[in-house]
Amino acid sequence: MPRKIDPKKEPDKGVTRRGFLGSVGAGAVAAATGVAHRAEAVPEITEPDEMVQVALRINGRTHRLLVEPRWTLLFVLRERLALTGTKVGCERGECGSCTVLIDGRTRYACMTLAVEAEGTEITTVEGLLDGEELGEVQQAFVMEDAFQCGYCTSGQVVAAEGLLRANPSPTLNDIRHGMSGNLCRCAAYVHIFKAVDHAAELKKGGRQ
Amino acid sequence: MSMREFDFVEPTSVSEACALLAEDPDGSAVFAGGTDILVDLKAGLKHHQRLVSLARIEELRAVELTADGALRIGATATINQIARHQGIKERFSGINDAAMSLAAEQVRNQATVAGNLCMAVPSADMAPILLAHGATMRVVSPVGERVVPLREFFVGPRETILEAADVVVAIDVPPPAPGTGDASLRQGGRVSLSLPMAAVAAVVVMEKRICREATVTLGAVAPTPIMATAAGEVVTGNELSEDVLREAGERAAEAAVPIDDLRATKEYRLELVKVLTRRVLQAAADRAKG
Ligand SMILES: Cc1cc2nc3c(=O)[nH]c(=O)nc-3n(C[C@H](O)[C@H](O)[C@H](O)COP(=O)(O)OP(=O)(O)OC[C@H]3O[C@@H](n4cnc5c(N)ncnc54)[C@H](O)[C@@H]3O)c2cc1C
Ligand code: FES
Ligand code: FES
Repeated sequence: MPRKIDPKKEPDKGVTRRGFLGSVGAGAVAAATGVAHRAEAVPEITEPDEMVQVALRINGRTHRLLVEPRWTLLFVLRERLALTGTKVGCERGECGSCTVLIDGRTRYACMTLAVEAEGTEITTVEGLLDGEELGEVQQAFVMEDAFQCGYCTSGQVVAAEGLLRANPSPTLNDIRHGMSGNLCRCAAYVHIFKAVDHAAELKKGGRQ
Repeated sequence: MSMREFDFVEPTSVSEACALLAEDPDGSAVFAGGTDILVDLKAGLKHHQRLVSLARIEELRAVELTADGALRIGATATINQIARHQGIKERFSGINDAAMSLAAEQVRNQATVAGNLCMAVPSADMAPILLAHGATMRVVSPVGERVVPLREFFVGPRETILEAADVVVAIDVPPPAPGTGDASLRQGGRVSLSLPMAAVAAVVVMEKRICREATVTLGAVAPTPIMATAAGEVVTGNELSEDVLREAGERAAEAAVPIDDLRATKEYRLELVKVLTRRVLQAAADRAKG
């Protein structure tokens, strides 16, 4: 693929890893064990070698792929790995539909760069299945009828999973507070809170 | 919502981070949790040629309570690291209040305390309580290290004393005197995911029922988080009677210079300051032991 070069930008703007290493002293080079990531202006015609190789651990599997530093984890999950369970909503950290777990804690995938997620354990809603069966939280959402249109549901399910991992026996208030980073446009909140409570019991082997 | 291209560098030491910033001070920015930066980049409000991430610098992650009761918050410690810290809950309840009031779980798992202060929006939730505790910022630049009191850190909305190649490496909170209680209260449009219309924090030192020392600070009602010195003075040497608390609220409102904006009117903010000041002083005093 030909690479488009913008002559106005190319000579001085943008610092390649090589450029950086060449421009600092030898001592700094020895210390420069950090990783430098370089992005290109126009994604469609960017040459692969101008992208960054990352290894992302997602749902227990390692995916090696090339990414641009400006790609969010959300974009990579959906558009590069076809893990479309994670939904796109506001894309600015305000709705929760893109919620994933990073090292067991809830995060907005739209507010996380793919390059940042290297070296972490990422769990998406697909990773909450129990083999071919629905996982406990997913089951509880079905049992409690905790959705209407379902658009927010995968984010809600992952948020609930994160909440229950941190606090296996939440009170209603803990649930309301813990789930408050996830909006539901259909306002199925009462059922969502019941589902989280139900999931807590399923996880402990209780109420079916 | 796509962003313009940038380089993302992940140094593993502070000196390396400073060197990277110093190479192109105007084109670079420190990247901590990214919750503020990414919003600006996505909206096209800002562009940085190079983002220098602090995430891989091991030594910046720690939150430490020392034996003498001081607290050190590393630059990449997240809001939730603070909110879930049992020792902080017990010894700096007001700092826990502030952390729990910020955004929602997903943001708290990512956003840093230092980033909240460095962004310097007037409504920054961590600012009033840290200001009231007399916190200091430890700042490293290519030429050395310095300590800046938080009181002198904020210059204006989204503006601090930081120079382009400066990195805040830690926030230090001095050990509270015996008999100290603290609290932080704010009012937003809803409990989660909303910035405060007004915020008030207080640190008091109690001796039985008498308040020996009181510091009151305000957020979201001036170009920067501010001290409401006169409000503290009203309380000092007194019992927290209804009259004293009301007077403190009036003094705090006099220190405030709020604006009308989409979140609240000036008048409403002044009312909030009065009410929150009374409540936060009472809450801080109730928590004081000694
Ligand atoms: C949905 C949403 C809701 C929010 N709600 C709230 C809220 O209720 N209350 C509130 O106060 N904030 C809120 N915020 C704002 C934000 O989360 C906080 O300000 C956060 O603490 C910033 O930290 P960060 O690590 O993400 O900063 P970043 O985005 O990484 O950085 C913020 C700024 O500080 C600079 N910086 C960061 N660390 C350093 C350092 N160590 N040295 C020098 N400069 C540094 C960066 O260059 C940048 O200019 C919200 C944000 C979002 C997206
Ligand atoms: S799409 Fe990420 S929070 Fe809305
Ligand atoms: S079920 Fe429709 S948005 Fe939640």
